[in-house]
Amino acid sequence: MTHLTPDQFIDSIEAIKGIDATGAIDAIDAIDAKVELPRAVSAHLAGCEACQTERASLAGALGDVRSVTMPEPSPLFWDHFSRRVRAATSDEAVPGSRVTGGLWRREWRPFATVAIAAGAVALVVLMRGGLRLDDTGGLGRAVPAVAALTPAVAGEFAGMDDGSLSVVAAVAADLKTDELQQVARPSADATGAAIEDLTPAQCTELMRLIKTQMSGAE
Amino acid sequence: MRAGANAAAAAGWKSAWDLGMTGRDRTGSAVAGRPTDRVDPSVSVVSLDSADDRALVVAFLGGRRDAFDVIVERHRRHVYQLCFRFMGSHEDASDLAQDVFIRAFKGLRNFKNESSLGTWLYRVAVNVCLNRRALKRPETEPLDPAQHIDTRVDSPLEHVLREEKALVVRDAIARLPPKQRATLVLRVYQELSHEEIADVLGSSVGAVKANFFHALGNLRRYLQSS
Repeated sequence: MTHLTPDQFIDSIEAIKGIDATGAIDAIDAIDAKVELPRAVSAHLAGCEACQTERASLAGALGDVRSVTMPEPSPLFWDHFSRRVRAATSDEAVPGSRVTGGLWRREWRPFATVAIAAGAVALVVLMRGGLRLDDTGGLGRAVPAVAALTPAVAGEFAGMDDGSLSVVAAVAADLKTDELQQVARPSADATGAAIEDLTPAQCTELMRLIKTQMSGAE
Repeated sequence: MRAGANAAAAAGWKSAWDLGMTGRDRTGSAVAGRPTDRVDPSVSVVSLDSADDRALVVAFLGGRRDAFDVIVERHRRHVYQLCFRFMGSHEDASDLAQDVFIRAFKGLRNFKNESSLGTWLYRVAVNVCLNRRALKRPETEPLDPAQHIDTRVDSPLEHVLREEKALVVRDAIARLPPKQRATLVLRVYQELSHEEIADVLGSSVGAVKANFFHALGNLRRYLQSS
C-alpha cells in the first residue's frame, strides 16, 4: 500500500481520543474504539514510520487548536445581544404580517403605485376647483381610458376598468405635467421599483408616452 | 470551577443545539414528518419556547415576530462563537453575529427545510465572516484582561503563558485560506460532522477532509515558524 491519503490521515487522526498538544498517540486507550479504520490503513500505519510521524505531527497541530479555549462573554451580554438584534430588525416588516402579506406584496406594487398616482391626480383636481360638471349636473361622459391605450397594453387592462380608470383619464386630460410633478413626485427608489415591476408591454407603452411628451414639449 | 460551569453550560447548549440540528423536541422524541406542513403559525407564546426550529420558522413566516426572538435566543451563542473563532475579537464577533441574525430575519423566507436551521445559520455566518475578512487584514485578538482573565483557574503566570500560546494559535488560524479556516473552525470548535460542514460550505465530504488535512498541515508550519 502507498502512503495514506489526506482522507485516511484525517480518519486516522479522528480515531484518536483526547488528542493533546503533544500529539501523543502511543497509548492503547487513546484509540477510540468507536471509530474503526480500514484494516489496510491500520496495517500500513503500523509498519510505516513516515506515516506515523506525519500522523503524530498533524495530531499535535490539532491538539494545539483544541487547547485554545474561547473567552466567555459576560452573562449579561446575551440579553444585550438579543435586544440589539430586536432593535435592528424593528423597522423590518415581519414576513406574513398584514403589511408584507397584503397591499405591498410585490405583485401588487404596480397597482398600488397606480392607485397612489390616481389619488394624487384626484387631489390636484379638487384643489383646482373640483370636477367640471356637464349640463345635467353630472360628470361629463368619460372616454374609456382603456380605449386610449395601445392594443398591447389595453389587452392587459381589459376587464379591470370598473369606471374609475376612465374617470381618472378624463380628469387628467386637463392637467399639466409640471403641476403633477410638484404634487406627486415619487422618490427615486419608488420610481425604480415601479419601473422594475412593469411588463415589457407596459415598458414599451411608457417609452411611447415619454417620447410623445418630449416631442410635444419641443 | 469556572471551567466546570462553562462545560455544563456548553453541554446544555450543545443539547439545545442538537434539538435544532436533529429535529427533536425537548422531550427527546423525534419530530415526525415535516412539521412545517402542519404547524399552526398562531402557536401560543408558551409553546414557542418548546417549539422546534422548523415550527419557529413557520410561526415567524406567519407573522410572529416573537418566534424570531426565540430563534435568536436559541442560536445566538453558537453563531457568536463561530464569528469569534473567525474574527478573533469580541467586538467583531458581536457585530457579525448581529449581522447574521439581521440577514436571517430578512432571508428566512428563503430557508428550505433541506437542512437544519442551525446549518443554514452557520452558512450565513460563514459567508458574513468571509466577506468581512476579505475586507479586513487578519488581526490578532486584543487582550482585554478585565474581561477575560479568570484567576480562579490558573495562576497569573500560567494564564499569561496559556494566552500567549492561544494568541499564536489564533494568529496561525487567521492566516489559513478561507475554506481551510472555515473547515477547521466548524470541525474542531463547532464540532460539526464532515457531512454537515460539506452542507454549510456547499462542497463534498472528500473536499472537506482534504481542506481539514491541508489546514492542519499549514497550521503546523505556521506554528513551527512562529
